[in-house]
Parts: sequence; C-alpha cells; structure tokens
Amino acid sequence: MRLDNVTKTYGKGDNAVTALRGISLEVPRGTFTAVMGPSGSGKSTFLHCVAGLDRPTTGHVHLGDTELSGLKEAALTAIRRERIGYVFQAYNLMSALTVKQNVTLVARLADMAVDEAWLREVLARVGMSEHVGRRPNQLSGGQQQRVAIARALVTRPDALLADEPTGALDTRTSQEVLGLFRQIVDEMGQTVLMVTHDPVAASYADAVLFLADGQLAGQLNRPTPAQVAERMTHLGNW
Amino acid sequence: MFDIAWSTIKNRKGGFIAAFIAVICGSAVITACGVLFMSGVLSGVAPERYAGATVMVGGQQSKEVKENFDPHFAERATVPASLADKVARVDGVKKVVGDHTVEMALQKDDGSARGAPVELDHPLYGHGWSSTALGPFELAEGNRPGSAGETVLDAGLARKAGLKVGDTARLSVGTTAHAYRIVGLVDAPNGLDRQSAAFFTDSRAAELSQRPDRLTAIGVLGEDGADGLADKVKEAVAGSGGVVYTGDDVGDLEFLDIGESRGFLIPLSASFGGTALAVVIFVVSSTLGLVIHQRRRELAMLRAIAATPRQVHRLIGSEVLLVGVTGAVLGAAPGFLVAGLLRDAFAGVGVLPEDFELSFNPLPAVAAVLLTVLGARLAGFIAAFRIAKIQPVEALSESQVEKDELGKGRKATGVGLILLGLVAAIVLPLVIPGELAVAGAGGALVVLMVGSALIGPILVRAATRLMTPLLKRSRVSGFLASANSAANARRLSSAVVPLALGAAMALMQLSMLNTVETTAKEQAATGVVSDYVLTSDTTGLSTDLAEKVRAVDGVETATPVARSQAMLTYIEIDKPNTKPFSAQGLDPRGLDRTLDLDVREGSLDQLRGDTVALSWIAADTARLKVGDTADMNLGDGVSKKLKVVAVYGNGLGFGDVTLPHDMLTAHTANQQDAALLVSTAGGGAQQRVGAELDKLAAATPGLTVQNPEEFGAVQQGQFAQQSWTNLIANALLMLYVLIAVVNTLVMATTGRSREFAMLRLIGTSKRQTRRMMFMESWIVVVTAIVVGVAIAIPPAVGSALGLTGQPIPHVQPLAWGGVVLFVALLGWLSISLPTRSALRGRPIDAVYAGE
Repeated sequence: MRLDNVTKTYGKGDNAVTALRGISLEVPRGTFTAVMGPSGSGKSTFLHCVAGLDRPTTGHVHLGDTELSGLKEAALTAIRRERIGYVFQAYNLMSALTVKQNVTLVARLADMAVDEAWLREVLARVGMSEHVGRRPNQLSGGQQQRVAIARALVTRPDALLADEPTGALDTRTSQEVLGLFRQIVDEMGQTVLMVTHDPVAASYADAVLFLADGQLAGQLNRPTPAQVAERMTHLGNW
Repeated sequence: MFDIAWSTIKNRKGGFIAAFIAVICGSAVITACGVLFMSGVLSGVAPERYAGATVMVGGQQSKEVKENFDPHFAERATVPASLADKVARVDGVKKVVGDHTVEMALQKDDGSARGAPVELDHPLYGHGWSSTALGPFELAEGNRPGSAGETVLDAGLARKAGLKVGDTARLSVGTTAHAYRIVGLVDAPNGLDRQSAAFFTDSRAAELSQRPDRLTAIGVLGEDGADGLADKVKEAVAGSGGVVYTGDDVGDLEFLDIGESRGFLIPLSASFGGTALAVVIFVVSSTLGLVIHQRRRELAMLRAIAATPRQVHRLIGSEVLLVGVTGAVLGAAPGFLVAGLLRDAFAGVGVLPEDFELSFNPLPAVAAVLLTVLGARLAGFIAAFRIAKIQPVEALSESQVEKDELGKGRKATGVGLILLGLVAAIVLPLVIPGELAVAGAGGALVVLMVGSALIGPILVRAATRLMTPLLKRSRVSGFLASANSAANARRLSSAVVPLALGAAMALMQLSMLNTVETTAKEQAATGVVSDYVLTSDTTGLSTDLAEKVRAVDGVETATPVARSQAMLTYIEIDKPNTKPFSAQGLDPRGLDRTLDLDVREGSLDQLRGDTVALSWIAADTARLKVGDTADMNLGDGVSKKLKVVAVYGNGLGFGDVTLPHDMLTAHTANQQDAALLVSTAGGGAQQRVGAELDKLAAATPGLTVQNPEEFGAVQQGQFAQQSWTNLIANALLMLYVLIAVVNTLVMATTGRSREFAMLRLIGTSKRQTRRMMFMESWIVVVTAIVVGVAIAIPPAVGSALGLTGQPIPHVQPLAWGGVVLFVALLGWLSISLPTRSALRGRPIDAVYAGE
C-alpha cells in the first residue's frame, strides 16, 4: 500500500478546507499500522482515500499494483469488495441479517461463491462460531465488532482497514478486539491499517504514524502506550 | 437479493407495514376502478319487450369521436318509419315490426278531472299492439285493442294498480290524459322487471308518439333457419343511420339508461383510476422515503463495503416488490367490495340505475396488481434514488445528521412547479376561459402539491422559525420541540406533505362544488322573473299547454322551457373535441318578461330557425362568437350547423345551450316542456291569473303551480347530482390519502422511540416528552393547514374564474372549518397516540433495542 504526495481539498475558493497536504508513505505487507492524530488532523480522510471511498485531489494511491485514483466508481466498488476489508466504529452490520448472513454479505453482493471452510475458520478465529444464527441486536458491542472483522476477513483482502474500531467499546472488549487484530497479522500475515486516537490501541501496532494538520508528523516503531501518549501530547504544539 | 430483502422486511415490520397498507389500499382503489370500467364495457340487461326478436334495428345512440370515449346522446335516436319497408324486403325476414314507444303516466279515476296518480316503481311505456310479437307477449285474458279507445295492460301493471279487464284506465302523455277501456291483459315471456307496458292499436300508438314518421326501433323476426340475417339487415340499413342490434346488445337498445351508464362509467373510472395510480405512487414513495431515511446508515454502510448504486436500487427494489406484490394481491379482493360500494353510492345519487349490476371478472384485479406493483416499483426507485446515487463517504457522514441544504436542482424544480401551478391556476382561466380552464385549475393543484413537497423542508423550517417564540414559552418541551423540528425538517416535511395534500384536495373540491351550486342557485333565483312557474310531476308538460295558458285572461307572456342535452363539437388546441352541455329550448316572444339569461352579446330575439344561444362558458370552450356557426348534435344525435345569435351569462342556472323551443322539443323523446313561465299584466291580474292557473292544475294530471323561488330549487337537483358524483369519486381518494397520513405520522413517531428513551434517561419526564411531541405535532398540523389552504386557494380562485367569471370562490366557513379541524385532529392523534405507546416501556430497554 503506497501513497504518493496525496492532497485532499474539500470545497472551493474561500470555503476550501484542506484535509490532507502532500502525504507520502508506504505500508508494508503483513504489518499492523496505526494512524494517530488529534481531531481534525485528517486521519479519517486519509483512511477513506486509502480505501477508495474518496478520491484524492492530487497524488496517487496504490494498492499493490493497482492505482486507485484513476478508477471509476464501479471499479472502486469492486476493489472495496475484493481487496479491502473495512471495519467501522459502529453500525457495521445489517440489523436484519444473522451473523452468518452478515459475514457472507460481501460475497453475495459480488456474486461470489463462499468458501465454507475458510468461513468456518474465520468465524472460529474471531470466536463467533457459536453465534452464527444470531442477529446483531442479540450481540454485545464487542461481539458485533468481531463479526465485522470476520466479514472484512472473509474475502481474503489485501488490506484490512479499521476506522476507530474500538471507539465505542469498553477497555476490556477493546483489548479483545485489538488482540484479534494482532493475531490475524501475526498468524495469517494480514495487513492491517487502523485509525485511532487511543494510545493503548495504537500500542498494539507494529508502527504508529502521526498525523497533524493534514501532514505526517512522525513515526514510532514497536511503541509502548506511554511513548505514544507522550508523542500525542506534543503533537498539539507541533 | 430477495432473501436479504425478506429478512429486512421481517425485521422492520413497522416501517414496511405503512407502505404495505398504502399498497393494499391503492390496489383496492384501482381494482374498484377496473371493475367499474369493465362493467361499463361489459354489463348489460337482458331485453324484455324485444326478447323474442331475431334482430333489432335502432338509431345511432352515441357519437363516434376519434381517440376518445364516444359520448352518448341523452335522448333516444329514432329511425325513419320508411326504413321498416327496406328491412322487410331482406331475404329471410318473416316479419318486421315498427315500435313506437311513448312514456306515459297512469291515473286512477277518483271523480276529479285530474285523477289520482298511481305511483309505479318503473317507467310506463305505451306501444302499438303489433310490437307484442317481439316479446312475444301472450294474451292472458281478454282481447287485443280493437279501437283507439281501448288498451291492453301488462298483467303486472294491472295487479299493481288494482285494475282489471273492463275497467277504465286514465293514461296521460305529459299533461294530456285520455281514458281507455282495458280490454285485455298480457304476460311477457320473462316478465317485465324494468318497465310497465300498455298496448294500443298501432295507429293510436303512432298518434300518441306525435311522430308517426319516426320509429323507436324496428324489430325483425327471421324465418326458421335463416342464416346471417343480422349481416343482411346491416347491409340493408347501411347509410340510413340505423344500427343493428343482436343478442345481449338488444338490451342496450331497449333500455337507454344502460348505455348511458356505460357512457358515464367508462370515462369516469378511466380518469379516476389514473388519478388513483398517481396518488398511489406519490403516497408509496413518500412512505418508503421515510423507511429509507430511517435506515440510511445501514444503506451507507452497504455502499461503503461493497454495494454498487445499482445493488442498492436492487435491494430496495426487491423489498418494494415483495411488499408491493403481496399488498397488491391482498388489496385486489376488497377492491371488488369497494366497487360494490361505489355502485351503491352512484345508484343512490341517481347516476346509475338502481338495478345496474357490476360485471365481476378477474381482469381488473390482474390489471390492478400489475399497475400497483409497477407504481410501487417506480415509487421505490424515486425513494432510493438519492441514497443510491451519493458517494459512500457522503452517505456515511450525511447519515449522522440531516444535511441542511436542499439540492439546488430540487429547490429550483420546487419553486418552478409552484410558479407553473400558479400560472395554470390563475392566469390560464384569464387567457383561455371555458371548461379547459376549469380542468387546468384542478390540475394545477397537483402541480402545486408536488412543488411544495419538493421544498417541504424549507416550508417546515420557516414555520418552525415563526412558531419558535410561542414554543419557547415552555422552557423544556417547547425548546426541544423547536430544536427537533428545525433540525429534522426533512423528516417533518414527509409528515406535513400528505396531510397538506389531503386538506388541499378537500378544500379545493368543496370550494368548486360550492361555487357551482351557489352561482347556479343565484342565477336561477335572479333569472326567473315571471310571476308563476308551471311544472309537472309526471314526465313533463304537453306543448299545447302554453296556448291554453296564453288564453287565460290577464296572462301577458307564457314561455315554455324544454330541457335536453346538446353536444358541441369544436377544435380543442389542435384536434376536434365533443362535449355534452345541458340545453334548454325557449320561445323568444316576450322573453324579457319571464326569463333573464343575462345576455352579454347579441340578442335572444333572433332565436328562431337554425340558431343557438350559448352561455359564455360554452362559447369560450368552443371559441365561438356571435355570428359564428356552431357544430352541434341535438338530444337525439341529429347533427346541425347553427348560427350563434347570443352569448349569455346565466349558463349554470339554466343550461349552457339555448335553442329555439320547437327545434329542441322535436329532438327529444317526449316532446314536452319542463316548465312554463307565466307573467301577468300586473295590477290585479296576478291574483286572478293565479286562481285561474290553480283551476287549470286541478283539471290537469300532474300539473303544479309554483313560485319562481321554488323553481330555483328544482334546478339545484341537477347540479347536486353532478357534484355528488365528483364527491363520491374523490371521497375514496381522500380516504386513501388519509390512510397515508396516519401511516406516515405513526411511523415517524414510532421510529423515534430510542430518542424518547434517551430523553427520559437524562431526566426528561414522560409528561415533558409528551408535551414536546404535542408541540411538534402542532408544528406539523399548522404547517400542513397553512400549506394546504395556500395551495387550495389559487385553483379555487381559478376555477371560480372559469365557472363564473368572478375570481371569488364561494367558501362555506363551516365546511372549511370542519376540514381544518379534521386535519388538525387527525395529525394530532396520529402523533400523540404512538408517542404514548412508545413511552410505555422501560426507557432502558428501548435504548438497547436494535440499532
């Protein structure tokens, strides 16, 4: 995953708001990367551009060999389906569908066959094998998030993107979910890119990228929560 | 896709039930229209008097109009008597019978010259004896009539009237009565259910008909084994204006009211069905819009992870299809019941015969299901359009709070439509007056409605802003209500729009009805300037009565008024159009002493020969001026080119077409007058003439003497019938809109139960929440009423302009107040009851329930 000098501006003229100012970086395959920054630092926009949910104003986004910025909406949808798994902060699931139906939803939309063995394995890994027939409103917040991760994994994506996945969870459940991310990176070689503002969450990652005012503001490798928190306090004055 | 759709529907029953109910009702209404349409096409009545005829020949009873429904003539179209000889020469014909049918009334002898009228359930017709061969009638008792003073009655009539062979029956045509000796009784083969019959000698029947040279119909009895007789007869009568009837169609010839019912039902049900379909699309799309609004987050998520816009459309489309098909199928069956109710209502008002039977077959249901499903699918597409089109990121962020601004295109379209509606409502009637303008004003209401629906959120926001100072008096509930309304203008607007639509439709209808009725009444009241009005409670006044009255000492003018219908053919925009108008026949002599038609151009003195006077509405509709030539069909369909000699104002009170008296009566079946307007020389003459007229009435069957004011009331009846028809048809639509309103409001309120729970958890009391909703409901109700009244007024003004030339619609404050009160009550109940129910449970459960 590679970004070349990506900028993103919303609006025009006097009302223009620049969310990203020339970001270039590379996320190596099989790593767990966290992106941190204060509110308004552009981290959500950054993730949207990487996921093909939004187009950069200038610059290029590459997913493997594919250049995303030039693609049409239909092609982007296909990329999102097949090569990217996305986990939101909340409202990840369709309330009308069961756990299993939710996990296989993408395959259904893409009209692909579901690899049953792989599905069982993914569900087992996220610890939801027991609950395949339940509906989202019968699950706890942590369980819902695990179902969302299973759904993101089941298509064997090139990258799993997560936007504040623990934002709506308590500490204990957050730990379970973050542990799960760590586990799928270590054991399955999955690439995970996570946006968060929680130093503890970021400390689970291999590397933490700091964003401030739409620009990269440093990187920490193998950080501890304290290092991350320390860095964040200084970002305000950066 | 269907299984996802099905799970969604099961999971969101509340939301979809509203759309479901809307579809069921829509399907029922459209099925009902279909049944009425099919009945107009198919149903008929079995012939009674003509049951035994092989082939019947009658007149052309409707005018052929290209690309439109053929209008029916109001009077019987007769055939020349000479045609019977032509038919008799056809190979294979055994016998030909010319039938004279004369409507009559029966009186029993009670010693007075007037006689005691016998009330009959069905009309009584007199015929020549030879026509009994067409039944064939069997002589049950006695003999055939041998002389002009003898008659044979049908046995049922004799039983009903308590008459027997040897008695004397007084039978009158109009106000002219004769005594006949009953010499026999006959039985019809299948009985007479829709009429009574009296038979005279053939020459007497011809004499009674006053038109010996014209026949009501020609009956043909074929020789045994004669094949293809109908075709041969058709060939023989070709070019003569005669039409051949066989089999079931013979009933149409015998009973004109059946054909008329068809002429009434077919255009009515077609136009009503079309409107119903449009309303179904409107209501279902606004209901679905709310369901989709409530789940935009979910749909945005779908778009973000994997779904293309097309797939979102397909998902919503599948849901709509499931709901639509089930609802449409379920609604079809009650649709047949609705059709039955409509039939009863129309029969009750008198526009359909009491015994008119609907023809039930599955075709209307199939058509209704198809149309409703298509309509719902279209509605789903409209509702899904926005959510499917936008970028997923926008969808994600937009889904959190409502987007503040409406799209530019939407705003422009909304304002554009409102302007267009105003032009159509007010400017059009000024530029092109006439019937087209009135129709345009009606259509303008729909345009105005769609326009205001588009800018609904802006209207709601404005209303909220205006009402905020009032609401702020209540510190908690009022503050919350005003904040909610301002922030959720879109959601509120989908509740306001149907409510306003219902109010506007009702107000507009009421105003039109009222304007027509009041104006007609005024015109009739001020137009009749005579001292007395003679009318009849039988079929009419014989035309010789006028001379009798003129001979009375002190009578200055006696103006006979005959009534019928006439059709005007004219070029509308670029193609010919034919429209029926009510017509009266007048004798212009001394007319200014009896009748004031408010002549605007030309003069009624010229009304003789091939001339016509038109109301300004008719003149404008057909674009005719004094001196132009009008292309008309008289009551029995005979075509005439008539010179326009006058244009007058009082068309609503007296009829839009005024013809010379003798021309009009010559083309009616009864050739009688509806009224005789009598003015006296003044001074003491009035009392004297009154006494003389009373004496005349005592000696004349059916004759009544009235004051001019009472005559006005008679006029009312005809307009009331038409207005009622409109009201019945529209009441059904109104009911449908009503269901939609309740649906939308209940759904919008129920969808907020989590918000209520949250409010309660942070310390708002149940009472405060209820008060908050009460105030919100006021914002909805007041906005709806203001919008409803505002968009009802331009079409009301426009139609008043078109109908009366005055821009002031007649408003019954009580009726308008009633509508407003009803709308307010309905809106308030649909919000407050679901609020109560949503507040019933423990708030903590509601907060964690579902999304």
